[in-house]
Amino acid sequence: MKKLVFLIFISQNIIAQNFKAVKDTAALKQKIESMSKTVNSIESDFTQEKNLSMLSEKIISKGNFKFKKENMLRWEYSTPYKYLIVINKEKIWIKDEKKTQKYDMNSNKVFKEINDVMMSCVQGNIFKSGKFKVAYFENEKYYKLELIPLQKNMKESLKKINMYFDKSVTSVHKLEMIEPNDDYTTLDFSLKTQNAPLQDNIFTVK
Amino acid sequence: MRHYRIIFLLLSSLLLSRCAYHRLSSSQKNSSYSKQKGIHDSTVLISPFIHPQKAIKYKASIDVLNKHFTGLIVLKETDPETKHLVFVTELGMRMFDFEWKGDNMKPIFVFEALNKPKLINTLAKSFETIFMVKWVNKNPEYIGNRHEFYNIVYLKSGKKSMFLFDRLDPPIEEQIVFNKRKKESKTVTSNNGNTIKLKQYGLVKLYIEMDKINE
Repeated sequence: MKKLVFLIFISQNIIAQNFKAVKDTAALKQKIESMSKTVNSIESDFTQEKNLSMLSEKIISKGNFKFKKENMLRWEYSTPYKYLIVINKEKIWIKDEKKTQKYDMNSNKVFKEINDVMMSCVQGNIFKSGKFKVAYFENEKYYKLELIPLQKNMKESLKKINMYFDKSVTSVHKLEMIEPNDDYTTLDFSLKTQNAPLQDNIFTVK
Repeated sequence: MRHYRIIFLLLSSLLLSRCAYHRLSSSQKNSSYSKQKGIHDSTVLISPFIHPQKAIKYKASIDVLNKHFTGLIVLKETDPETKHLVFVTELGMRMFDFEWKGDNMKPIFVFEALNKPKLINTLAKSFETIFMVKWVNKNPEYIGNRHEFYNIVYLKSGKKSMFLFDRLDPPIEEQIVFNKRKKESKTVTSNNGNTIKLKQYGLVKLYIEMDKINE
């Protein structure tokens, strides 16, 4: 058992050591900004994994998201439940299996915050928000941005966000959101399509 | 004496089968509802409520104070004396975590926006009612009738009393709790114990709906 713990510890360190600090952070920022500017729409599947550390339990859900500039997002879970969030500029719809609710973003600070975080995560430009202390790392395959919240409110529910980009910085590959109690949620993106035409009417719920 | 023994057996079967509802439906998918309810099924009597290794998950919605929350409820035993009930939203946000020890549920974590004492008390009370946390292993004062198509059991513990309407066909169980003479809650369990709906009356009105996810 001790050997196993030791091996896990060593392997975790090796993985951690694989990421080293990026020397030219200005160049990386430039690449990310350029990606954000050139990408007008994204469509992608995602797998969300919630790790409840104390219960040693994982909750896996899957779905698809569509993003279109400016400020339009359709975030849809298909399994194990149906759940839809649609953001269209100042409006936000939340539809579960029983109810559809519509909100005005400006009337609710929480939704405004959710909108800002979701949009900037999808576009990869969250580091520009000024709400996080950012550190830049890289290994052979990915760039990793470690974002530590600066605002007191956000710190209460979020310890850190890790954002991974592929080395050519064409899209966000993966997101890790770590909570103060070390529960964490990962979002893996797959089957991504960029700049394909998306109709505006998919960013509304009737 | 014989009369009391029958009463005790009937009560035990109802309490224990009710307690093992979800445990059974996860472990005995093919068994019939009536078998699940039977006192003769030794699994019912000796098994813990929650599988020691496996969590039980429900799709859940909670309506309270004009707000509608949805997500997953995860129930898991963390050690032989402790269970946890955690509510996580679809986006992965943990809303609350109740620790359940003996006949008590207490909050370990509550998301800031929900952290109001009256609301938390009502939520804890509601889950205690759903899982009969306060009623198991208690000595009730009186048991009611057994009919051809349903059983009615009346339990009393301190100021609280509970009616259990146990319909056999279709298998639906209704549980109504009174505090003195005031109706406190109504819980309906159907679909082989997989669907649970609770309506909590009183100052903080609350509605919980849970659908078990069979993995």
